[in-house]
Amino acid sequence: MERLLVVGLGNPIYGDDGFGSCLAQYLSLFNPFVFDGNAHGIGILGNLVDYDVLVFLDIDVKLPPGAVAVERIEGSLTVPETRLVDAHRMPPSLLVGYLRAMGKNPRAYLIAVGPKSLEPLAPASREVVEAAPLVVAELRKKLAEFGYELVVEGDVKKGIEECYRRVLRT
Amino acid sequence: MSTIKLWIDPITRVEGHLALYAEVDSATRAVSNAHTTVMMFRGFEVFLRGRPPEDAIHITSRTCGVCGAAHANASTRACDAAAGMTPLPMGSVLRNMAYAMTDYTYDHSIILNMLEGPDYSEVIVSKLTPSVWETAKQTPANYSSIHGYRTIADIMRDLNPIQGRIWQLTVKHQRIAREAGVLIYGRHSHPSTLIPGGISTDITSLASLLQEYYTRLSLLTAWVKFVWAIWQDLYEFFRDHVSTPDGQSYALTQGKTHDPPVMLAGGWSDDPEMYSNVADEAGGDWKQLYALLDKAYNARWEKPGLAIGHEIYSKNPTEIQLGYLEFADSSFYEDWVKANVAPPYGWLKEDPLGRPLAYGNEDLLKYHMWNRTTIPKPGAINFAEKYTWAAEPRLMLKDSRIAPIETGPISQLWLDTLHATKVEVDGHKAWESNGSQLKVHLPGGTVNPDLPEGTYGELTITWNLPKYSTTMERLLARAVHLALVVSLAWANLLYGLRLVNAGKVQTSRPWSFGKWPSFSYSFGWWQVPRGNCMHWLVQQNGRIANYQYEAPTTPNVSPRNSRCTDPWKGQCRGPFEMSVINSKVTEEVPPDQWTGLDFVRAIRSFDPCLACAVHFEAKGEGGRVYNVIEKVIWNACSL
Repeated sequence: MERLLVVGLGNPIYGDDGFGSCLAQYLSLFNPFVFDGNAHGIGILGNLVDYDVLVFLDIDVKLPPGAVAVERIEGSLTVPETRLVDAHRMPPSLLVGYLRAMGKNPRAYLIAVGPKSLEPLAPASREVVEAAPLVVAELRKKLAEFGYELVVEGDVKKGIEECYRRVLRT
Repeated sequence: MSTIKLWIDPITRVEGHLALYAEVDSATRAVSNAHTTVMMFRGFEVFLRGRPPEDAIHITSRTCGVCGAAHANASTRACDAAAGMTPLPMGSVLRNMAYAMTDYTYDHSIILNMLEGPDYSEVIVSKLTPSVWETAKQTPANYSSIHGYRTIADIMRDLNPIQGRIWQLTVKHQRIAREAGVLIYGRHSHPSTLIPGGISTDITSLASLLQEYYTRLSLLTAWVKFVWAIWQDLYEFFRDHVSTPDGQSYALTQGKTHDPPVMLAGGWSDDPEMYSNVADEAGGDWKQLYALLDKAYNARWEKPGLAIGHEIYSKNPTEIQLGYLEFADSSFYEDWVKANVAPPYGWLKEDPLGRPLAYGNEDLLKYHMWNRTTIPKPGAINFAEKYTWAAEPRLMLKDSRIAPIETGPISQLWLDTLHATKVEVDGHKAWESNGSQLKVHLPGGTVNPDLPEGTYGELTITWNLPKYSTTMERLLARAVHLALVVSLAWANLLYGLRLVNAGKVQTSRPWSFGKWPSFSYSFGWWQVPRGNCMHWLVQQNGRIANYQYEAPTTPNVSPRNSRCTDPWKGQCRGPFEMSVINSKVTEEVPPDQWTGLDFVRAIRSFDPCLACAVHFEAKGEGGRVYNVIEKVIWNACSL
């Protein structure tokens, strides 16, 4: 069985940007292979080096609000192309680019949702919260391709809303 | 001859935003003038006023996303002293164990191998100094039996960023160090468990916590042997095989700072028994505790003090700090003394023991840190007047001389060596010194599958007190210090196990919100990877009346002014600028292609930390990495 890690990315202080992080927090309650990368940027590279398959959960600003996409992360970076950059702002593609420049070659996927608002201190938009079950369904299918079973209990939408309430203290 | 003007802005691979301006003679390759400038204002001191002192531990931690624990620890010591209480022995053990991992083992590793290492990697050395690269290929490594590399060039190749094996091993091992620290701190890089008089780590499963720490420490002990051997080899190569344009040894002269050096260290790793006992002895009285601080600091497992050249000026922080002054002649602050802005409690003239600040000099005592008021005064860079946000710390000595200050791992080893002492716990001899030499002992039986077997056995590292601080001496000192802190982590773990066996696992003294004297003032010094981290606290009725702090980089990055007296009158600037002025260009490319390699090597060897309020340049969203859409699904609920 290939070594697989699901990685949630984003910062809940910036509205919908925190979706991936909050979803990963919730899913990690039931699944040991889910990791919340939050907005730690290149700080999580060390957590990713030992995996054959990475599945990121994040937003994709190119998508309309609430749309869900399954994307493959292709290509690689040369060492000069990895020149830094903002250590906190690190999309999945750059993380994978770093890993490949390091000689690692994980297969990488992104299950993304289109954000509506990235306003500071705003909760997740209704569109993004409503899309959560679909993201989970796509994640479940992707994991099944690699023999992993996703366990989800309770209401994932409530889990995400609770994550924002906790972070924003609302 | 012509003058080459080099502006390096920003200097990358340092924390925060720093720029360098240097003028170089193209014929002699010598530097005629150099200025460093910091282009950011933080202002933490401004908004700390009025808050509970214990909040300062967590607020000052946010100064930096790398070394937050450094400030949290210095602030904790300042709060301990102002509150009149210290942790019980297990509390100090846990504080020390956590700090040995994050920041030291984590931070020293990335500083050496990821931030400074690329300057000594194949890609840089072969491009800018090809003759050095050719020599490296012919030079056998002296410590192959430990790190496994045959030649110096083999080491340089693996120091290549991103792709090099050393770079990648560092990514892995810094994470292990952070894991070990987080067991105790709860999180990195801002510890959530540091409190005045103790630590709030959940010790319900203390035995398990110590086991998890032990396994990580064992892996990291092999790691620090590996890292030290690499840097010892690089140091010896640059000492014996590489010269500056005037024929001097690169390692012994390039990037030299002051003459005589002024070395300040705070020490760290509180002695668990002594640091607890002083609070008992003081009986809860903060002034009594202040009177015992020097005893407590000197019992630390690394030693505090100020050395001038190879002489110890004082081992006692309460005495040294009497003359700790900060000026704003060349920095973007209003001179609060000339503006007659006293702190809310008026000018403090004495320390808590009644000793006069600035040794009684009425004009200068207002520049003491307890009397400072931070008043920003932004302006354009003018090297003749004000040119940086970094202020100008200077030390006034008992005989009224005023000196610049250097601090870093080299200053800590300097003081450890001059103390001529040893630290031994339960049969584990961590280190010993005799005034001119220091030996660090690392235990064997440390198996790490990622590293050569040469790192598994016992190892004793010898460090000789250098005459000056130079670029390579600072790097070597950091590598030796990495080994020393891991040895102290073992000492603390053994001490902790002894306490567990004795049933003495309580960590903190009882404390409740608002339990502060009506008025007290103190300081907290804590040696950190970049040098001595120093916090000064004045509190009234449980609220901060004034809080001033110095990151270790503050004295190092100080601009020049004219406050110093002989023998530093012509050297009255911080070590960054001194190290550039005392560097010669060794690049083997035409002057119009000089990159300033030797200058950034000199500055990076201090590991500047200017705090991450300023962002780096963002370069695209991933270059040639792209996302391929497999499918897009519209969520009906959102339409």
